[in-house]
Amino acid sequence: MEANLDMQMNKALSVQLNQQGQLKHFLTIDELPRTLLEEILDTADSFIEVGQRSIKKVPLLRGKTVVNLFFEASTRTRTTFELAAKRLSADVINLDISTSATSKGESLSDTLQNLEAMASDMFIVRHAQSGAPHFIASQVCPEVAIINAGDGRHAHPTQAMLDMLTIRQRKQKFEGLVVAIVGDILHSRVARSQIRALRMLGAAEVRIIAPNTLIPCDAESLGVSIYRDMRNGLKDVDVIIMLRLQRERMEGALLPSEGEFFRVYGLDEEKLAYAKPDAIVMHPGPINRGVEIASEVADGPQSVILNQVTNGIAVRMAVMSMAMTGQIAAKSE
Amino acid sequence: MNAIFLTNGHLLDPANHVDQKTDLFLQNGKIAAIGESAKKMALSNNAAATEINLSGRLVMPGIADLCVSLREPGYKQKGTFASELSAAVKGGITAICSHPLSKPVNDTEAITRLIRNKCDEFGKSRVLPVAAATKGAEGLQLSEYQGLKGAGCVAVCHNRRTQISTQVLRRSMQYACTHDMLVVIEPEDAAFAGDGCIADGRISTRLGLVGIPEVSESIALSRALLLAEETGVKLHVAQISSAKSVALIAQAKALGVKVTCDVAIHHLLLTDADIDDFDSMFHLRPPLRTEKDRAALQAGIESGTIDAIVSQHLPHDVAAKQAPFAESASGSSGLELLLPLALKLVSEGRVSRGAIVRALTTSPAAIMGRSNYGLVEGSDADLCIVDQDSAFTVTPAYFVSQGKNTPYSGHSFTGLVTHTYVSGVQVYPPQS
Repeated sequence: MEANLDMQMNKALSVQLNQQGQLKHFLTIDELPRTLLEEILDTADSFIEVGQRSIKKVPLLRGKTVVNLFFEASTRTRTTFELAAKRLSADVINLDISTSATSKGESLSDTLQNLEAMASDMFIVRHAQSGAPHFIASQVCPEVAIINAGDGRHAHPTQAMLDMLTIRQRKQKFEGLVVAIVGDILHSRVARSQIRALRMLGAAEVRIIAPNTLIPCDAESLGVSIYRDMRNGLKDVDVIIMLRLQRERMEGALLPSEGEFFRVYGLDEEKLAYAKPDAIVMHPGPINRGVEIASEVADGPQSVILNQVTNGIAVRMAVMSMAMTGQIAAKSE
Repeated sequence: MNAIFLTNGHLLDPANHVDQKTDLFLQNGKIAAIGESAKKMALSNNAAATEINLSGRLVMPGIADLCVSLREPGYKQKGTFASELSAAVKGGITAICSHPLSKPVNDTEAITRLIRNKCDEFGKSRVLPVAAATKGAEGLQLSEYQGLKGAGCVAVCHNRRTQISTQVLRRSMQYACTHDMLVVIEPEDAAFAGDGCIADGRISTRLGLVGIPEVSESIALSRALLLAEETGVKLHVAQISSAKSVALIAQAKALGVKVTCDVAIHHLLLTDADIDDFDSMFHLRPPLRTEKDRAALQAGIESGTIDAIVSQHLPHDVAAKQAPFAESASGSSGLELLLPLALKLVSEGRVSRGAIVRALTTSPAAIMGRSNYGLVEGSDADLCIVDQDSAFTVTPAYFVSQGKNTPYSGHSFTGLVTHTYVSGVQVYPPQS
């Protein structure tokens, strides 16, 4: 039973890709080839123009049913997925699962099989359990295109890709870039997906900056360098990504207070000065002003936080249209 | 009861220094004779003995498995006494310790007697119940050790999911000592392990699953060993999973602490790197750890620091595994794979055959309180006969157990049991 990495990789690929190597589910950045990530970014670029038209629609998903399955609350991600699906001309259903079926004791498998029986073509899934979208794609509904909208601490691949699009717009290419990700890495699905995407797209160095309590075990294995000191970590970086800090972290004894966190790791103008003068500041949102980021930085000239939101729609349109094409092709394989 | 004459088998029982091709004569539930005297006894036997030519197959003492969840009472959808005992004898397992976490928990004489009486009806493997060390396995009040012992319990167990204070654990050991009762501990700091479902490390970090730090096992184990040293109790440590635990056990044994321990077969074969894409079949407790841990556990079997290998049989219904990794039930169906998996360790050259056979048979039997066990004249005729070359592939159809849950699906192994005897009676294959 030797661990066979090649075999594992092929198995992971076979879940997400069809035989021609097209995306049929979008579950994680892990194991996706660079060319595919670039295809997502290029496709998203072409959809940005759609958002600038007076009639913001293309017919790529006309007649298709997209179900937003959010087992965990979300406003922004769900809204941008809904907008993206509508701009692709799909029929969109929003299901607030957290208050319906599963709270009546129905199992996840049963809930999904019922929805599949209603002839759904695509599920956008957010779930508190790492691996839930993977479980759905591989075991429950392999013929419905599954898009991961965030699972536990595992992955948030559309967020990572919209961040990559934002970086590429500002920096043109990834080669040579030094990127710092700051804050609660331990609980962050966003960070895991960003790290993977940055490594795959050729960034020179990815740094994580956090106290030991918020760094996962064996974090070096993700291919990052680890900093505990904010000023050292930010020195000469091109991109700063601030992560959201949840209030629960104080209750779990991971941190003493928001105040101390902000003093040490909060991004203010003084700390920002250690980065390159043209460094950009990113945040997946929603931001906690005065906890991880100072208002003058969030609203300042180096901030691209609102560009990220705009790009979110284009990236989600790209991923949805690509996965639908790949899923249709897979069925004729 | 018919006498049985087994010819041309390769007898293997390293604890009793038996390793030879010869004959066996079974009579009145015992091994009556071995070798030339067996032949003589067969010739002089008036009531004709049943003769079976084993043509070189391996004859071992029956396997003794210290950790089996039979699922009854309470979880018939996962397994029944009938289904799981049939699986046990198919796996060459002649004695099992039944795990206390049934529904209700086995914490009384009445439940212990119910388990024993029901299992005895089937006339398959011997079932030696282990009871919960605290009432309801809640970690607060002691179960009735004296009464449990009278009903046939061989040990009381502190389960890994139960939080227990040092005070209660110490009193449990003191009270067990009073009644010469073996205490079993599954070493894990329950509160510290929390929602963890995988070893804390590279894989948990990559998959974003909540990790259980290795130190959660080391802390629980260290505490138990210190208290065992102080109270003088006989302690058995169930399912260690780390290199650190092997070292702690070795140190305690060197100090003269009365401690034995076992490891689940999975931890000798698999690591967390095998957890392939959130496959819930690899959701096991304790969690699979690193290559370094696996190597140390294998070395622990070879050196005898680890006394026994267990199946940690935990059959599940299909739905229990049909969930995202952390929400799926942990455990695997292991009775029918214990021996083939152990033999794989031998064929891969990781552990010697002698050490494996000892850890499957005579060592765990001694922990169950059965001395004079093995391939010696006068001992109980509990035997497992194996065709080492017969190959099979793991599919749902392979399992007699109601639980088809396994991390080894699709893999092929060798070493099928051809006959199992308990007290000189053939219990596998079943006789019509």
